[in-house]
Amino acid sequence: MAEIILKETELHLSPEDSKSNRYISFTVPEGTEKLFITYSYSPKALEDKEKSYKLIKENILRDAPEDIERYTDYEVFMPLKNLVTLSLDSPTEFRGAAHRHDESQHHEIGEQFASPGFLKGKINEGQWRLSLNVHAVVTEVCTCKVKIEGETEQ
Amino acid sequence: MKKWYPCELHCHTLHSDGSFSVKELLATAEARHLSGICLTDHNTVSGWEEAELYADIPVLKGTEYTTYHGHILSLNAEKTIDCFNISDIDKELKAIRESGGLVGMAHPYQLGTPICTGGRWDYDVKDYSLINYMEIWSEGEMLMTPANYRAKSRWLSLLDEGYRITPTFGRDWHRAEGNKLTGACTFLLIDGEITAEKMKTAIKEGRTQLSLGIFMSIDTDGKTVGDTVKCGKTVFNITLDSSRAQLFRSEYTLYPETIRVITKGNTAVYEGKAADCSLTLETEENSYYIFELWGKLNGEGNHLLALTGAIYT
Repeated sequence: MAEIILKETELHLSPEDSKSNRYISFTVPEGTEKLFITYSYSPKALEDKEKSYKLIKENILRDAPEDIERYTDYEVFMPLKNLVTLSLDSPTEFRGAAHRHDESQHHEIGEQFASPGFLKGKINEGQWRLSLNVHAVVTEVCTCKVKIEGETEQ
Repeated sequence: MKKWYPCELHCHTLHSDGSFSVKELLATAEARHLSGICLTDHNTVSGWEEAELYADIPVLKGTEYTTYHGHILSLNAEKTIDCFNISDIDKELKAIRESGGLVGMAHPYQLGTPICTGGRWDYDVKDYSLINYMEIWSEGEMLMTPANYRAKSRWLSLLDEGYRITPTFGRDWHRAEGNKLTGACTFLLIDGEITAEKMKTAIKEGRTQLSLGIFMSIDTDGKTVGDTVKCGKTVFNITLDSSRAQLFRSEYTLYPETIRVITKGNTAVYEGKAADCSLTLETEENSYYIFELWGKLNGEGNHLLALTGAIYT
């Protein structure tokens, strides 16, 4: 067995990236049996309380202005967090997603097994796409690190 | 023989951001005396296989598409949608419907990004007939929770416009710990033994009742919740069943006091003592009638304890 790095990259996201996708394309060579995705992002939480109050108030004013007075305790929503999840597409089909809150994740996708969220099956050669689904960035910068490895039989 | 079965229609596992495995979810569902569940992990279908392997109760397979502008529930669809590239919401909802699925709006009035990312429904749906069901009651009490009473109010306004949308309760169940009002569920009215297919039919046909534990059986000349009846003088026979509430007595108590019937414009056309009864209403044409049960929760207040889907005229 041999493991090769198919892609290794770092992305820097800002609040403007919220509600958008960042795509990472990578080529899977023939004979690849498993994919490993190592992913982390940082920071996870917004520590600045004053900024948190401001964002929470804006959030409530936007989504429930009639109820602004009923939301008295902003602390229950703190800390606000960055959320950047993963989804995966093979050259031909959707291969699952990791919609979870962990800021550090490791996934395996192969014919016999796939980590929860992903779909097991043949690892076809060709152009694959990992999507970083940027649900929310609440900190000034959020750095995402992605490493994709392929395992072949040789 | 039609029977109301307690079900949980909104569940997550380790396949997305839930804390329980599919096995643990199923075991907890059984421990909570639920007869069926919908497995609706965020943005994936990878838990379905385990559900098939381990389920002793029916599991209706679904997905909660957790997009940037709303959470879309899809039940029993053949195909998945690309939920992060939605430019025309009606088109995507149509795609779910055309692949055999049911479409639901999850917690439409929850606070959205960043508190609960995409949790607030911001999509401008053009054709609400594409929506099969709306989750108008999420975990917690109805009237104390703005997201719940706003959703209920929105649902009623859509019924006023003539759409037939099924109401549901969804705990949005992520873990066994810290649950509020643990017996709360959606009762589904099913003919014979419950199966996943029959759960789907019940949701599709509007045969639901959202409840903290007590349900009302409604009969009007052989017809019931989800059916269309002739307008005019209509006799409704109502019986209360609190057997589920009894199972959760050590955690919380319900004391029904009032039955209300509401119709267009959120108008009450009847209000009376909560008891098995037979009531006669002069029903109007092209309208709907919803039965509500109100009473005390833990000996206090006036709370909504149960709410049926509509009977249409």
